[in-house]
Amino acid sequence: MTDTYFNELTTQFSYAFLDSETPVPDELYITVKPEACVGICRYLYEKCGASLVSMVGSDERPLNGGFRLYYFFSLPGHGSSVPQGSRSFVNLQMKVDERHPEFTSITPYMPAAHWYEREIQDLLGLKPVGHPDPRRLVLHENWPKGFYPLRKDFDYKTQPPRTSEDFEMKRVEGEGVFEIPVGPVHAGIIEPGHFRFSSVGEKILNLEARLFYKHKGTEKLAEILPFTKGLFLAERICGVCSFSHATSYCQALEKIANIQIPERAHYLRTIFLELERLYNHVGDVGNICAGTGLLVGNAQGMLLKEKLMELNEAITGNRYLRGMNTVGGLRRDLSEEKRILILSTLRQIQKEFKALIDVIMFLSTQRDRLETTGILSQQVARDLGVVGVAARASGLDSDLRRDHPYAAYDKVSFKVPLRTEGDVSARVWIRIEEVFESIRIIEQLLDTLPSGDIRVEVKEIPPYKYALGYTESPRGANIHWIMTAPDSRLYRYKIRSASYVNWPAVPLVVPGNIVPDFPLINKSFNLCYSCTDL
Amino acid sequence: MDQEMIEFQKPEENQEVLRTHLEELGNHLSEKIGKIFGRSLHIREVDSGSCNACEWEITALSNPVYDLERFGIYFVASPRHADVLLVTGPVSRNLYTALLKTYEATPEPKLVIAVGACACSGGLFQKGYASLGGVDKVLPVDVYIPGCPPRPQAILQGLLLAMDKLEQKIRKRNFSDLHEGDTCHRP
Amino acid sequence: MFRILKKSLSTGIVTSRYPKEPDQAPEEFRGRPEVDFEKCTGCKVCSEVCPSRAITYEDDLKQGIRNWQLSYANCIFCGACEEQCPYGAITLSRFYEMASRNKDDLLVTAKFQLSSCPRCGQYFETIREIRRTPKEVSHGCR
Repeated sequence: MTDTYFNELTTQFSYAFLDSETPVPDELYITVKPEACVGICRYLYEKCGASLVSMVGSDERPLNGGFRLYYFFSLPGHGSSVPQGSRSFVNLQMKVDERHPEFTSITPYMPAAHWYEREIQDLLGLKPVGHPDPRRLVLHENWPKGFYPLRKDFDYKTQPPRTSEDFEMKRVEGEGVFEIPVGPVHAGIIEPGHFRFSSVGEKILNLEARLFYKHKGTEKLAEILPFTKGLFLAERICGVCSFSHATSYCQALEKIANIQIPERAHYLRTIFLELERLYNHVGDVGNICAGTGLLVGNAQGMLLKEKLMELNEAITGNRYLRGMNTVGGLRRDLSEEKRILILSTLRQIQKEFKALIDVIMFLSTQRDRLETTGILSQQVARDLGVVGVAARASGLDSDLRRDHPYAAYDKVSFKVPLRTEGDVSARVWIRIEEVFESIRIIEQLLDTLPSGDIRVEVKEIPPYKYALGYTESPRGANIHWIMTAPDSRLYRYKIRSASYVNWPAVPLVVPGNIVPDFPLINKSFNLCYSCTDL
Repeated sequence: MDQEMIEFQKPEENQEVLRTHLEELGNHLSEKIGKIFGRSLHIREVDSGSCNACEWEITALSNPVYDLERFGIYFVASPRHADVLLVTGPVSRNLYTALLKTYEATPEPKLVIAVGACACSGGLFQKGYASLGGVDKVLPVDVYIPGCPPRPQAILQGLLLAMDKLEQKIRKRNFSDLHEGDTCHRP
Repeated sequence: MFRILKKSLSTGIVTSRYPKEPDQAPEEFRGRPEVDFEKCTGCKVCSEVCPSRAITYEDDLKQGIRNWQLSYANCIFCGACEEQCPYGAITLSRFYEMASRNKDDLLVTAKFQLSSCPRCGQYFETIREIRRTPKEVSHGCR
């Protein structure tokens, strides 16, 4: 499938190509000359309709004497042999010389790259030349200059001294303009982030969000753990996307080790992935009501969510579906009894959720708050590479489950809901429709669940191999990239979560709305801080 | 005990005893809160870098199934209104100052409860370049609630346990010299 | 409005009776790890697979004692030790009410007598473990 692109690219940029390989099916890696990289990225983005899904910087000085940058693009499929709508990954890589630790920024052409490049600057000390906003991102001002945690000569346990904590935020000045600082410790029980609103009266003129308060060094920690323990770390990247992150991790390593997991494990994984989507979406719909002050809706939503969490606990032993996944399959099987339990619970949930929607979504007060609030335009969504519910509510038809099928998603039929309004209401409706689709998917899978093993033993993984692992989490695409090291360890683990790409969109949709609508907009995206900050 | 195994120790094993104690606590809880805080206990939740799972479990405490407010326990929006700080996460470097400031803003007598493995001991993250390895490295912790994440019931049990400790703290304060280390912010 | 009322009324009371009545965790639940010291040989496999260093050990080579320790405070209840223990000595129980005012109350400790290597004289493995899986000499002497 990637051949078509490869041929096109070769004719266009033959002078810049150094090497190419397909280590795993569907992932083409091309080594390019640094000076031509921006041109090729622009060609892929502007001419081929590709989207930038991740960007990784890696310190490969011990291996080949330089840093290396990887650009990951998802491309639409070409030609007659390719199923419609399917996509493949084309990945560019280039070397950055140790003596000149800088590279040309692609952000001016692809705004989606802006955080990746700032992160690379913070963690690896490579300067993106021409970046429009090269402020610090991941490491705040308490971090001294000259320490780069992702470099190989930096030890995980090093704790450099704290330096001054002042930071610079953009200001809006003028008569009657107020600044409202919020966070990092919020009023509700939510995660920490700092928001600064500039407003006139109730109307918001500008919002600046400062995140990465929760940065704990997850990616660096993964490099010192064996892959078996790294799995538990992947489960703890984010609480409410535990299973998707763990599945991404396992799928990447299974590709690298070139093993086929049993069919039953694929089915079960898909079921758990959908259960995760269910409890998230049901909870989110309830949560929206907390934002509009409709407490009945909130309480009912939380009640339904609690029922789903209890179901999770009854079938897997953990309310967040932790401890099920493992590299090579699953750790626990699903008994017939539990299969019936899932089916009966879901039938009940479906009925109650439908009744709840009828009550809360057609109230005029509710609709007044949700509709035309926080509109994310399709253009902004595409420029920033927004994924998941937020993308599908703004007319971007993207869903990894259909575009890059994994696990057992190619065995089931489901609809990907799409709306074009891009407002809070559209995002809520996408979730509601997905709840019913998820239930349908789980029912189909449970009806055709194959019997057999659930696990293949994986003792070790080959060194210096790399692959992507990806899942469509409740919030959108989680893309993990793993490069392995000797002794069954990881050389580099890059986690790109859905929240990471969606966060920059939030401050852009808020201006023009009133301050009390911000919680509503925030809840409609329902982004996670932990899997952004890592 | 045989010769090759010298000894072993386990914490409070008797679950029956624990259970009765807990039931008793549940029965007397409202009474206790009434006596100590004029019928309400205010909690401020502080996330110091958790994975979000502990947050959701704490949120779940206020859903109709656990309904924390029936005990007179409330989550408040500001540490200045709080009696108890419920801290999750291993204390990330970027949140260190925020956590300290929150603690300072909480009026005496105050309790700190560490929720989840990360808060209790650093969990998976331990001590690293951006993780300080547990709340007790930064603040005095009064109650530890293990779990990854703890079930909502376990958090509730921890809160009940904290109540007992708070009572002790207040009693101690009444007899101790007030100007020694007094950081009371209440008017 | 009427629909909201109807929905609320038909829901009824859903609040659990906890803590007045115990709440049993489901069978699959991974709760407090229980160690059966009848079966445990102090072979340290669990401490090697534990991702959060909840299980640790320290060999006192002067006294010939292995100090083994499990801390519930560090435990992330992943069940790796349960899966990997060669003797089935660790099981994750359904017990979850572990809150404690003192971190020391969350510790399980054990001491094992070490055996010395006949070749180099160094203490290297517990007597119990050697009885279960015979090893003649220490790793260094092999």
